[in-house]
Amino acid sequence: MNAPVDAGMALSPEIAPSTAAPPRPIRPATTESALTRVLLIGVALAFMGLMLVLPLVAVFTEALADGLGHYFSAIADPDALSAIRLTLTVAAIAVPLNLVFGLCAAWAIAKFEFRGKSVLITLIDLPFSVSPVISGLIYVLLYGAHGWFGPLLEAWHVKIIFTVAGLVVATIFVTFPFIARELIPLMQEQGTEEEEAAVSLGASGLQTFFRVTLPNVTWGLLYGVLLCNARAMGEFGAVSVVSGHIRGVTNTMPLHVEILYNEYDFVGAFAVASLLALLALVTLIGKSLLEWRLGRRLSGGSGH
Amino acid sequence: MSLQAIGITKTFNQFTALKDVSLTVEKGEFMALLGPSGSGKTTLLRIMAGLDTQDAGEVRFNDEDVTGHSLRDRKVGFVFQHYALFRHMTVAENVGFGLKVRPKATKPAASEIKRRVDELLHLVQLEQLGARFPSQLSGGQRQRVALARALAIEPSVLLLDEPFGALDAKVRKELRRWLRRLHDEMQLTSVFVTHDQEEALELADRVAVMSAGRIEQVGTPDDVYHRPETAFVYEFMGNVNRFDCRIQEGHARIGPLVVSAPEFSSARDLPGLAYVRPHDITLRAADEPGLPAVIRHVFTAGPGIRVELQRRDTKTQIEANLPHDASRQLLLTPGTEVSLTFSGARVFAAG
Repeated sequence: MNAPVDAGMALSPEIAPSTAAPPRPIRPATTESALTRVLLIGVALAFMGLMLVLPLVAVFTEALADGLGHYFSAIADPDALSAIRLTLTVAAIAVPLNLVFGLCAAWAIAKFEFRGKSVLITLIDLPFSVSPVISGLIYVLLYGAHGWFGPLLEAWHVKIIFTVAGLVVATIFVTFPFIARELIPLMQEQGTEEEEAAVSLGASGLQTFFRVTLPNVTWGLLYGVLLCNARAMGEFGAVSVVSGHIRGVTNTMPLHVEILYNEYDFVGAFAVASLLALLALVTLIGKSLLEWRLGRRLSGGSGH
Repeated sequence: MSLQAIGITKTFNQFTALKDVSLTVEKGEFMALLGPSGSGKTTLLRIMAGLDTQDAGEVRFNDEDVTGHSLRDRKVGFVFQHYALFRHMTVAENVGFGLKVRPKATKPAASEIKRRVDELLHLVQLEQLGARFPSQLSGGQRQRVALARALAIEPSVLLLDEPFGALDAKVRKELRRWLRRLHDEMQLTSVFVTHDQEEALELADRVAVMSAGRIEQVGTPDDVYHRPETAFVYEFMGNVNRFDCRIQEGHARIGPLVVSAPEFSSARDLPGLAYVRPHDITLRAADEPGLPAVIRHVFTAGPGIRVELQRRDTKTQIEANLPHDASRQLLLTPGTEVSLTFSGARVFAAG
């Protein structure tokens, strides 16, 4: 007797005969009509051209308005050269320090559980949410001649406000979140299993950090450094408050651009500005390269 | 090396993961920690490895208290559930890691490390893949790399957290036979965590069944399967039907059926639970004595016939497994009324 088999057959649904409907053009569910697409893309491109590309072109046109000779002599001006040097110096100090601080903060937040962790995460975002001018003013209030620590610093003959030290401190504050913000999600996603594996195989804490933790975030770290550097060189507000605008001493490139512009030296202002714009472009290209690289790694490709 | 956990207690915030758990793993033994998720089996394994610290209790290796020893000093081979391979290193670099990070005094020469790595890759049958990155390997291959990496430090204890959890059924079967051979050949003492009873029963010398932070029973696969000590173990070891019953003087009454419960010879009308395995159920014609039920579904694919039934009186589901030739004697079609008898039942007091 094969009753069970029969029962099984009876249960299986009959295949419905296909009805002969006229074929309709098939469009994926998420695709819009041609007109909508052209309109949307057109609006986006027009907006970008007007707001982003045109100003960039204007910077270079203005800078070269009186010819290459004037352009280079404007850059070679001692005050301009000093501003360039100062900007590079500030970035060269602030970025490595933020690299260390950012890495420490991200490591602590992503790999360990402790009280006040959420407070720390919020604090890291503070420089993003506070206006840079306020950031500058905070430091004047703290370290200025009439600030909280003013008398103490004066007694030790340490000057922070209106010196390079002030510029560095203000820049560190403003650019702090870039590296930490980049690393925290990356490290959180990676978890602690690889570190646990390394220690179980006999690695020390330092070996684990340099052989496992750090190599795993290299590209994210570079990306953060790039963004941090771009902002460090371009920062205006916070730096402007603590700098005191002493020409050839505490004037960074963005500040120098403003001074030249206010003095109606348009070629000079735009020549220095074009250097900053160039820097931004280089940063963007580097960022795209890194994103491409990161994207490949995250999507499970070889990445090597 | 023998392994011992004595009176281990561990709480995470408010949640008690382990309550006064003691377990001894003999030298050379292959022990399975079996339980549902949240039963504390992984926590116990991690505490034995030194990855987590217990709130109370002791861990002993060869009768030496290693509670104060760090993960690094315990030198156990640990295989993580998701392998935890170093993603930026090649397979060969992964396997050689444990040798490369040794202090200068004990670190083998580069050529020796390479020889050891080749040897281990040969052992796990991945000789050709040394230059690949973990992301280029299949799940089973990653699992074997993780094993080779753990074995590189020549541990005498191997601890594995759900070692086959992320693999498909066929690879899983192959790998576990291979792992068992490896354990025997290398004379390891191994403990592995699993929620799959079939895996535990097939692979382990002894099984520790865990539930809600406690060990319910420790015994050979034969013991825990055929002589479960608690209702939980009975229920967890494969499919089982549960019936509410009344226990009275050595017998349990399930509806009109009476099964023997010799452990309760002095009981007077006690509420109980009777467990009956699907293959211990016999189907008879409806006019014969037994528990009346209706056939709901019949599944003929597989080693036997699986029949889903519904009790006439309480409407609860019952599952029975019959040999294929049983269908010749009975009309197995949905809707047929039958009478059930049990060739074996285990009775526990309720609650």
